[in-house]
Amino acid sequence: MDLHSIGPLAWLIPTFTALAFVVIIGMIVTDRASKNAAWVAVAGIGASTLLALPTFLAALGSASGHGEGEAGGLAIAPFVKQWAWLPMGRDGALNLGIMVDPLSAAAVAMVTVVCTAIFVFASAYMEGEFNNYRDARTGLPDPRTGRNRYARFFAYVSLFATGMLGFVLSSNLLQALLFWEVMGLCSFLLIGFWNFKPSAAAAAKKAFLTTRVGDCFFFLGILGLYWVFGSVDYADMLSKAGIEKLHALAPFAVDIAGHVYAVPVIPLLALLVFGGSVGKSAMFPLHVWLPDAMEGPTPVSALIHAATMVSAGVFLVARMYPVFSAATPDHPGYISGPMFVVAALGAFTAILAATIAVAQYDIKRVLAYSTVSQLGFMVAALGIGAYVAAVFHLLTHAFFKALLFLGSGSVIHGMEHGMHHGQDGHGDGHGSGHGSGHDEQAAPYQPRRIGGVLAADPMDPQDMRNMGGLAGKMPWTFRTYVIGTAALTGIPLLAGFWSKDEILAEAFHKGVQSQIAIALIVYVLLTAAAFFTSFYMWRQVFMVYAGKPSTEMAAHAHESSPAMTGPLIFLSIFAALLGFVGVPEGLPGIGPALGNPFHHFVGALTASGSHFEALAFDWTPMLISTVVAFLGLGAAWWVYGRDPAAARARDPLARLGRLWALLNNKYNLDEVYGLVVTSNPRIHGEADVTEHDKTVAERLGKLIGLTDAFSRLNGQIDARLVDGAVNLAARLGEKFSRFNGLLDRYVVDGAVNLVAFAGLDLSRGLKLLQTGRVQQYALIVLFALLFLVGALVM
Amino acid sequence: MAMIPLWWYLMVAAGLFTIGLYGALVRKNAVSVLMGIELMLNAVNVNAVAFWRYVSPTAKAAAGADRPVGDFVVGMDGQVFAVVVIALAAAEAAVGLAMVIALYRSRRSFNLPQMDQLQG
Amino acid sequence: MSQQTVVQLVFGVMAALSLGGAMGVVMARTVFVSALWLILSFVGVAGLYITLGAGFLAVIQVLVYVGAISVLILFAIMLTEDVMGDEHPNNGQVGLAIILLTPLIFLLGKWGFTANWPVKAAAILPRSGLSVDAATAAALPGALKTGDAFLVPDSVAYLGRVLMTEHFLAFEVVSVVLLVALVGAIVIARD
Repeated sequence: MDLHSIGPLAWLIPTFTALAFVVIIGMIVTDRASKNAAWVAVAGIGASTLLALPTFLAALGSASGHGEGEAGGLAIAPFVKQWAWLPMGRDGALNLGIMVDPLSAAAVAMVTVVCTAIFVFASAYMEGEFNNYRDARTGLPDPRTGRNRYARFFAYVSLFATGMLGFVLSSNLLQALLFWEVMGLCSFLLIGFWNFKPSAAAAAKKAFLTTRVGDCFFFLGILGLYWVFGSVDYADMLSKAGIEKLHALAPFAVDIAGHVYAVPVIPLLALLVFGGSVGKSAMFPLHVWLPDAMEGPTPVSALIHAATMVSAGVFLVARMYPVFSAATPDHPGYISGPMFVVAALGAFTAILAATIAVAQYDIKRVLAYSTVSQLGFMVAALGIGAYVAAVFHLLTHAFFKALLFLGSGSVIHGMEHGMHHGQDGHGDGHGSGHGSGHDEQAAPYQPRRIGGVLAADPMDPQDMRNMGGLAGKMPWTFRTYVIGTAALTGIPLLAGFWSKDEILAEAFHKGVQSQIAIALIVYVLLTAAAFFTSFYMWRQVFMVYAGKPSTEMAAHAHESSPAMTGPLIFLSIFAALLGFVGVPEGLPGIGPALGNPFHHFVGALTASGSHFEALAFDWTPMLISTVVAFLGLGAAWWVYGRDPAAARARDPLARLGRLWALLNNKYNLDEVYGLVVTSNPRIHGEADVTEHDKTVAERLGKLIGLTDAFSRLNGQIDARLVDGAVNLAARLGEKFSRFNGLLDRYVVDGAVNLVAFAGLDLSRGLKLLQTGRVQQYALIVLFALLFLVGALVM
Repeated sequence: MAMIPLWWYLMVAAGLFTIGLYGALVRKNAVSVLMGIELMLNAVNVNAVAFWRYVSPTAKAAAGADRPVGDFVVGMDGQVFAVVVIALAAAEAAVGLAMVIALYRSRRSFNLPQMDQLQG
Repeated sequence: MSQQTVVQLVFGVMAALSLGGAMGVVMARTVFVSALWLILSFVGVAGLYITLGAGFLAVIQVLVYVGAISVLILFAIMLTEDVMGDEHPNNGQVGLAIILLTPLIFLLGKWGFTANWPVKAAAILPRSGLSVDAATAAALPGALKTGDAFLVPDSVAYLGRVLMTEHFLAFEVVSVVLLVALVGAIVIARD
C-alpha cells in the first residue's frame, strides 16, 4: 500500500486507544463496568495495530522503493500531516500533527503489537481485581468497586498506549511533550493502582516526581530549540537546513560580572533534551523510580518497562540524534560533547544496574534493574553513534522484556494460586492485592536482616527464594521464559543476540579500530554488563524454575489460563525470530540472504540526509559476546544451577558479605538520595517500610559501609597475596596493607564522612526553603522573576 | 487625537495586577487569595482589550459578501483573548471554590499557613 | 465640557472604582466585605471596557464576574460559615511582599509609560466609516491602501464570527475546559 494513501489516517492510531479510554470511562461513570472493559481496551489497541501494521509496511515500501543508498527517501522527506493548533502571529503556528518516518513507523508497529499482547494478558491477570476485591479497611468483599477498578485499569492502560503512540507519531516537540506527560500521568496512576498499599502509593509518587525532574530539563530544551529555530516542528529542526542553522549558530555569550563566557548553545540544548530522557528512561541518577515501579500490577510493569514510557526516552534521543551529533563539525569518528555525556552515562548505568540486579531476590526487581541496564545499552549505543543498533535493540528489547515481565506475572499469579491453595484449599484468583491479601491470614511477617540482606517473607509470592520447581508446574510459562531469557542474555540466533551484538560490534569497531577512548570504555563496560546480564538472568531462571519447590506456595502453583500463556507464546515468537531482520550482511551464510533489511530501513537519518554505513562484519566482537553470554550462563549454573534448593535457602554469593549487602541494597543510593536530596523518608518507594524510622546516624553508617565493603574486599585480596609470598614480601605487604588500612580509615572514610556531613548540612539549609506554604513559594517566584528582569534591564 | 492615551489603561492594569498579587501573596484566607487571582486576571483583560483597541494587530479583509471590496476590519484577537480569559476564570473559580469547600470540610478552616503538607 | 473631557472623566471614575475596589478587597478584615469590594472592582473594569468600545465584553464582565463569580464566592463564604473576621487577616509576609511589589509596579509603570507602542491612529477612532490613513497603510503593506474604508465592526456579530472561524480551536478547548471544570467541581465538592 502506498504511504500517501494510508499515511493521512495515521492520526487514527492513537485515536483508537483514546476512544477506548473514553468508552471505558463512560462505562464506569454510568455504572456499567464489567469484563467488557478489557475487551474494549483490546479492541482499541487491536484497531490501532491493524492500522499501524499497514502503515509500517507502507513506510517500508516507500523507504526501499528508492533502492540501495537511497533508503533515506522516506527519512529525508518523512510523511508529515499537521494542523495549525495555535496561530502565533507572524511566527507561524504551533502545530498538531503526525509524522511517519522509518523510526516512528518501526516504533509504532512495535508499540501496538507489544501492547496488544500485554492487554490480552492483563484481561486475565486482573480478574482477581474483578472477582474478589475486598475493601482495604473493612476486608469485606466489594464487587462494585472491584468491577470499577478492573475497568479503570483498562482505561488507564489505554490512555497509556495513547500517550506512547501519540508521542511516537508526533510531528513536533511540543506535541511530543504533551503525550510524554500523558504517559507520566498514566505511570503515576498505574504504579499506584493498588493505592491501598502504602508502598505502591509511595512508588507512584516517586516515579512521578523523579521523572518530573527530567521533564523540567526537557521543557527547557524545547524552549531553547524554539528560540533557535522559531519552530518546534521536527521538519524544521531535523532537516538539512535546520542542521546547517545549528552549525552556523554562534555560542551564546554570557556576561557574568564583566567576564564574557561563550556558552555553546547546541550542546547545552542537546543535554537539556537528554535530561528528559534521563528521567523517562531511568538513567543514573534518575533511575531510582523504575525498580519501584514494579509496585504496579505486572502488566503495567511490562507496559512501562517494555513498550512505553522508558522506550520513549531512548526514542527521544534517537529522534533528536541530529541535534546531538550536530554539536560538533562533521569529523569522522568524532564524538561530540553531548554524545560523550550520553555514552558515558549510558554505559555507567548499564553496569551499575547490571551489578545491582545480581543481588536482588524479587523476581520483578531483577527484571526492573535489567531494564535499567538494557536502557543503558541503548543510550550508550546512541552516544557512540550506533544509531541503528540502538533502535534495533530498543525494538527487540521491547518484545523480550515484555515477554519476561508477563512471564513473571504468570509466575506470581501461579504462586498466588498456590498460596490460596495452601491456605484454604480453593484457588479462586489472586485476591485484591498482594498487600492486603495475606496479612489477615498468617502471623504478620517481621522484616529482619541477615548479613545486611532482608530475609525472605515466606508469604511473598514475588520472592524468588520462595519459588523453585515451577518448570514442571508451569510448562508454557517456563518455556517462553527461557526463550525470553536466552534472547535477553544474547544466546546466539535469538533476537537479543543480534541487537546487542550490533551495539557491541559498533563499540568494538570504534573503540579498538578507530581508537576512540569513550567507545572503548563503553565496549568494556557493556561487555562486563552483558556478562552480569547473562549471570543474573540465568540465576533467576534457576532460582524460579529449577529443583524442588521451596515452599508450599510453589508446590501448589499451577499453569495460568490460555489468555495469559497465549500472549507469552506470541511474544516469544518475536523474541526468538525478530533478530533476523537485523543480521549483519557480512555474516557468511545467512547474512547476504537476509540482507539486513532493518538497517536499510532505519539507517538513514532525517538530518543531513546522512546515511549510517553498516559496519564491515567482524567475527571478534561476535565471538566475544557469545563467549560472555555462555560464561554468564555457566557461572549461573555453577553457583545456582547445581543445587537450586540450597541456593534458594542460602544464597551462595552471600559469602561476599558486605559487598553482597551493598549490591542487594542498590549501593544505598536510595538512602543517599533520602539523606541528601529529599531528607524525607516518606518519599521513598521502599518496599520495607519499617526502615523509615531509621535514624540519620544509621543511614550514615550505611554510607560509610560503601567504602568499608570495598576496603574489606581489598583486604581479602591482600591477605591471599601475603599468604603465598616469602617472609620479606609478607612483612612489606603487611606494612603496606596496614598503611592501606590507615589510609582507608582516615583518608577515605574521612572524605566520605565529609561528603555525607556536607550534604546533610547543605540539605538542612535548603530544607528551610521548603516550608510547604504555597504563598511563600509564590513570593520566591516573584523574587526570582524580578531578579531576572532586573538582570535583563540593567 | 487620542482622547485617552493608551498608557492610562496600562497604569490601571498595572495597579490592578499588583494589588491582586499582593492579595494573593499575603492573605491568609484561601478565598481571599482566589479573589486576588481574579483581580490579576482582570488586569490582564484590561491590558488585552486596551491593546486590541490601540495596537490592533492586524487588519483583515472583511468577511462576507455584504461588505464591498476594499473595506477592512480590525482583528478581534484582543477581545477573543479577554473572552477566553473570562471563561477560564469562571472555570478556575468554580474548581477553586469547590476545593476550598472540600478543604473546609476536612479541616474546618481556610487558613493557608496551616496547609503545609507540601513540606512532606 | 468637551467630549474629550467627558470621556476622560468617565475613565477616571471607572479607574478609581476598579482600583479602589481592589484596594478594598485586600484591605478588608472579613472575607465577606472583601467579596463586596470585589464586585465594585469588577464593575469598574466593565466600565473601562465601555470606554474602550468593547461593549459586549463589558456586558459579559458584568454577567460572569459580577453575576456569577462574585455570587459563587459569596456562596462559598456563607456555606462554610467562615464570615467572621480575623484579627490578623494577613500572613507574615506583608513587608516582604510590599518590598518586592514596589519594584514590580515601578517596572510595569515604566514600560507602560515609556515604551513606544505602535499606536495606530485609525485604530483608536471610535467609529467606523473613516478612511485608512497613510501611517496605517504603511504599517500593513499589502493589506490596506490609504483611503480604504475602515471598519470597527459591530463587536458581537464579528466576535461571534471569528470565534467560529479563526479562533475555533480556542473556543472548543475552552468549552471542554469548562465542562471538565464543571464535572470536577461537582466531584470535588461532593461529600
